[in-house]
Amino acid sequence: MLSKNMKTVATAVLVVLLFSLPLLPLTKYQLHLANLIAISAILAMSLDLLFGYLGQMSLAHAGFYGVGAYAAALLTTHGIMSFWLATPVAMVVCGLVGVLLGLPALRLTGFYLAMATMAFGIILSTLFVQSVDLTGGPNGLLGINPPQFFGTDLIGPQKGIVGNYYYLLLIAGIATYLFLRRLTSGRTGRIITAVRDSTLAAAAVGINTRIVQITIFGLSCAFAGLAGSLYAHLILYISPESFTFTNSLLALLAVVFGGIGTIWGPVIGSAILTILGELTRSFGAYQLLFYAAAIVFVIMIVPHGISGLLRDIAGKVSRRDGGTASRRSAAPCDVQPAAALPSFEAGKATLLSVHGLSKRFGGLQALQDVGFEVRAGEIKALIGPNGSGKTTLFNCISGFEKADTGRVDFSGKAIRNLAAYRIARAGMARSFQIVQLFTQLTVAENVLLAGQRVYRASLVGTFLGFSEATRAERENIAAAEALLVEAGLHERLSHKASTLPYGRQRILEIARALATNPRLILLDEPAAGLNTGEALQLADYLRRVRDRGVTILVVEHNMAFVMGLADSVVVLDRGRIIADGTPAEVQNDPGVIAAYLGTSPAEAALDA
Amino acid sequence: MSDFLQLLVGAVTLGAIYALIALGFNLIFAASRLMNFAQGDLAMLGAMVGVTLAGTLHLPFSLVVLAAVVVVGLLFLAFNLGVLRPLAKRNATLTSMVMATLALSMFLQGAAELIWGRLEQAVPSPVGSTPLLVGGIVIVPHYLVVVGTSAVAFLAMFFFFRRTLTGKALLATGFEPEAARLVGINPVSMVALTCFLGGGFAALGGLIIGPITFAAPWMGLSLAVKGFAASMLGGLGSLPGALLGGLIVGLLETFGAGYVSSAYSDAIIFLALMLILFVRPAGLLGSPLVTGEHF
Repeated sequence: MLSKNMKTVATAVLVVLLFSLPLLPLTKYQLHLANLIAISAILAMSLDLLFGYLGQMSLAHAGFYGVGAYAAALLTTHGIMSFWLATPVAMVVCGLVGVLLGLPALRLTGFYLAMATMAFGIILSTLFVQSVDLTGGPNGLLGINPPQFFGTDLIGPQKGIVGNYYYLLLIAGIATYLFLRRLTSGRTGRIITAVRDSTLAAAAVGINTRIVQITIFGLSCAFAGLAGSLYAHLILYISPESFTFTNSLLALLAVVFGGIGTIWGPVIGSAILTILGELTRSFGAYQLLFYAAAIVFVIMIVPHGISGLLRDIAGKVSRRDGGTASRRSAAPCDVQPAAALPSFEAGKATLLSVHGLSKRFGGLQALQDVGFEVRAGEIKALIGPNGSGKTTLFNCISGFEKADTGRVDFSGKAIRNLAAYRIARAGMARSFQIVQLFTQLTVAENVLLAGQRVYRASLVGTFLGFSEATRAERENIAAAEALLVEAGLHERLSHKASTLPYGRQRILEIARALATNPRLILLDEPAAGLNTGEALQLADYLRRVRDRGVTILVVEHNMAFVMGLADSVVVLDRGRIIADGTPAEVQNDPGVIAAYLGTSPAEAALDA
Repeated sequence: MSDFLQLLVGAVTLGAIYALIALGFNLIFAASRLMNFAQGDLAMLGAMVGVTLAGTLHLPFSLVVLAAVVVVGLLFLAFNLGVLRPLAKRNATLTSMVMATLALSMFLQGAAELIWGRLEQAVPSPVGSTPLLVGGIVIVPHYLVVVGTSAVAFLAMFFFFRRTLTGKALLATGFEPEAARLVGINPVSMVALTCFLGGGFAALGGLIIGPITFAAPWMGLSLAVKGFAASMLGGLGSLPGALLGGLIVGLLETFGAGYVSSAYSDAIIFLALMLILFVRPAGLLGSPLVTGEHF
């Protein structure tokens, strides 16, 4: 990392250079090239938001670019509105089309989403060609009106005018860059990364993952539309061949070239690809060979793209200067844990009650008429042999699976079959049998993200950096630090969560659940894979959590752990509750012993 | 009715070709989870081999088939060993791998243009061009070659997966590479085998579509996207799925062109693909366990 001052100076120099470009002795053609780079940079940045941050590939981006271009061009050419109004309208149109596609398509991920978007992109291409009345068909749309600024054309044959349009593109590009940077950092950035890393865990801390995915997809499409409108009003002529599947692949290539998930990387990627394309244009078939060689060069030599390469170089420079990278992580943490932590009044009232809950998977009755209660302030254990339905029960209670029948009441509210994120927001947090951390976020960020709904600020306020948002963030940081100190994880605040050893990952998952300020946490086998010492530590930790007033429902196979920890135990066997009572009662229950150890035929006959 | 049957003959023929390309695509995906953008260009190369060996050199068709399959299969195998393996060894992301196949696609297209030129060229059919009349329906003799070749290829693959140990080892590698390694299967050689077969089937598809559509360096993209569509419609990674998906794409394209408009036949295919993905992402015959991967 470069020091902050050096970064500021470098940015200032870059901005001045970019703004003075038209003053340099460039030919009109070279300026035109700069304009094309700016447009393809906006397109690539918009794709990076989706691909780099949400981790989903769209192969329809050139299609959205085309929708923006045609929409804006039609509006201005028919004199319906000026360029200045048509461009935002085109962005909204693209955003809406993106949301409409995203509603069904974003149920898919990865390869499947790539294929669905490819299909949509090809359909859009067909529409561009076939809607002759609207788009001019294969001949394209001619005679687009040049945009005007206080009565003068912003684009035209003279060099000076090409330069004017360049300023417009530069401002649009910088605005896009700043918007996307802001969106992908801080609170909103954490949310996007969390949804990318684990939709399950994101829902468990109260994030509406569908809304996040669809919003990001829509925004990404809207910015593609911005690039489209700017393109149409630069060239003043558009035809379907600029918006094909191949163009979508080239946009993807610009992102990969520059460096995925950096926003500024794709800008460099676009510049390189545009210039490479122009330089090799006259080489005919060799042009494709150049592209192929460039791709192989990037993925083999600089796998994190050009931006990754530059970051490595910058990292080496600053390390020579003494290095500041590790300073933040070494910052001492002097927050007292108990002081900053919110606590609840523990009573003996029923916090969670489950009645007649049933769930069937095909031919398997996973849960059959399950009913039990959890009182506020207790640690209740849910035990049962493998396959008895414990995790299914957890999932049905916390909204990750839909129960077929029955009733779940939590703090006096019926919550059965509410969406998982709503149940989380109502004050029920959980951990998972297979640890679900946000692996690309740091230890601190995992907890910060979960606290965002407790120390909340309006999205707009966050975005604009209002003081109320900054204060909420500061309080969130203090609370998160307190939780991490208590969990013994404060030494590792700025490590990626994925670098923690397994036992610590389990603890972090619980700390993250606590950060949502829950009244009840469901823990699915928290002691699995821990040695005896670690399990004892975990039990201590959970008791402290309970003493603060957080009720705990825990699934666990480690009997020594359960019996030492739990106030009461409920036993599940083949989808039915077979015992519910104190640890001592349950341990001596013949039905429970039979379920765990099996019965001999003779005993079975006696029972019958 | 005879119109309908006439279209059906064309649809099945086209479908048989898409099925072959999807088969190759599925094989590669099953073994290495790789989305191969070069699949269509491998088919194009198969057609180009036909241009030279059958068109210029007049070699017997069986020899041309063998050459196309072996040359293209080996080429994709070399790509696997020379590019994909080294990338995997460096823990490259799936994105890098996919981009590598995109590079191969561009390379093949550029190279083909340099060797064979930009223009469309004819690929001679091994059978005559005198149409057969069967009950009022015109059947181009080459159609029979297409359907026959495809049928033989699919039967061979069914036999391979059901009856041979290598076939089962290959399936196991696709499901669980680590576990396969534990029981003594060498996943590297299994992936290499699928690359050879995947490239070979693509080439076969290209070689037999050549006499119907001509051959040109830029034909790959359209074959690739239809191969993708066939593969996804039938069920990604499924052998009977490739056959069913290919036939559906052939039917949609031919009947779309016949009853709606040839301008919209592609849009119809991809609309169907979108609907299937939304309703049943695993495809018609795929396992409903959809695994999404981050790129």
